[in-house]
Amino acid sequence: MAPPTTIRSRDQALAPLDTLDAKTHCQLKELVQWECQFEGADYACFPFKRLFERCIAAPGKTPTNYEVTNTDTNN
Amino acid sequence: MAVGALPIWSKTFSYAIRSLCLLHIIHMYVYEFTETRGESMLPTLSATNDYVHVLKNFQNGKGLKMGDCIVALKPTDSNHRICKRITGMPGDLVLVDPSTIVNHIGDVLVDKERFSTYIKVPEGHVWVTGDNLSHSLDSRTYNALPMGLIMGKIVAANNFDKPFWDSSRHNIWGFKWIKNTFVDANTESD
Amino acid sequence: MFQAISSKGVLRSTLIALSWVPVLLTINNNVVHIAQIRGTSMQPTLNPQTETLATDWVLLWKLGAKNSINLSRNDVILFKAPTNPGKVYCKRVKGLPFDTIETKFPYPKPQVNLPRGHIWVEGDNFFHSVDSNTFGPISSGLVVGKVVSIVWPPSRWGSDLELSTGRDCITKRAVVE
Repeated sequence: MAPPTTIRSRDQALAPLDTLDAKTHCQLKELVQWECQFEGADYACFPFKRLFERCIAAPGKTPTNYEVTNTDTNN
Repeated sequence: MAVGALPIWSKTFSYAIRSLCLLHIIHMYVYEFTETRGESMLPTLSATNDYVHVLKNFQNGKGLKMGDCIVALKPTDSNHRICKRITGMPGDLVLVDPSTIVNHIGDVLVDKERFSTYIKVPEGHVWVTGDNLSHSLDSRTYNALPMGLIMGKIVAANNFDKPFWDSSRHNIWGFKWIKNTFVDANTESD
Repeated sequence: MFQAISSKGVLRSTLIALSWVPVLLTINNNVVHIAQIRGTSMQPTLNPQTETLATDWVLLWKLGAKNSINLSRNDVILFKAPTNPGKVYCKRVKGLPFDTIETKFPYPKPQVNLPRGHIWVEGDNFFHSVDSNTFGPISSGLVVGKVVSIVWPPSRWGSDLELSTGRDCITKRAVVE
């Protein structure tokens, strides 16, 4: 169990992106995970793509990843 | 040396102890080859008989990156170990669970909330999820994982269900590298 | 001639000595270890001398310490800081899995039920302690070892490790089956 953490809404979580210029500070990244179901003899896996904006607020700072996966990402 | 005067069994015992401890130290700090089980990392790792090559210099999360595959102690039971992928680094803002919700009769439920439930990964922790989001007990249940529980990074795997030599793939026992899957987005698709 | 034999002998003894290093390391990692205690969060039990820079060195028992079954309430333990795995903290176990704990500031909830495999830790000097009230229940897998006794300085030999046990914070103990 991690330290007490608060749940944020999408607007709260992604607010810092508004102050960053996406072209100069951010890079769109993807990470594909899967959803697998056991079907008789074998597993059937369907990809589930997750999208992230990887942003560096200032030169030399460690990048922060903001997940931007939405309802349309996997449609 | 006095060792020469000792009976043969005690000499053998002394060698055995030293070799076992050396092996243990290598296992602790350098490299480990260990079995994995379970459906949570499908299709990256199969559910049975997969063995993974683990580098131990990534212990405590040192040098790990988003998208790496790790072995860690299970937070709720230190006798068990887990294999997961890092899907959030300290300070990152990640969705708690964006995966598809399927109810018991197989209908896909649409819940917009799951695309608006975020968490900020705390300092010294990582967010981990299994590659098979449908069957994985991970950060979505037990929250972020303290880096102190991380034992190493998985770099490759073998499967002993596969033949010793696969001529079509040119590998031994299904050897494959386990790569970092956090890559530049393919802008052409969708 | 004589010289050559003796240097061979030295090499041989060195190699034999080196071959025992992994054994020592294994014991150090898994069985017993001696550790230095820094900071004031465990006063008055550990490091009571505020004016001097003297610190306590303790004997640490490591075997099985990561398993919460082997831990008891009021054990003094060392564990990897949840917020920084490079740091090691020394605190007292105040709650075991499934206990109910009455928390204090800055924990956001007045009570917490400890989940499976998690313990609650606090410093004896709880006014000057960063503990579970800040970082929450910790996984027992982070535990490095249990403090058995103080080994240095000699004046502190035989000191009572339960001189003070901090505050009483358990509201409901887990039912032992």
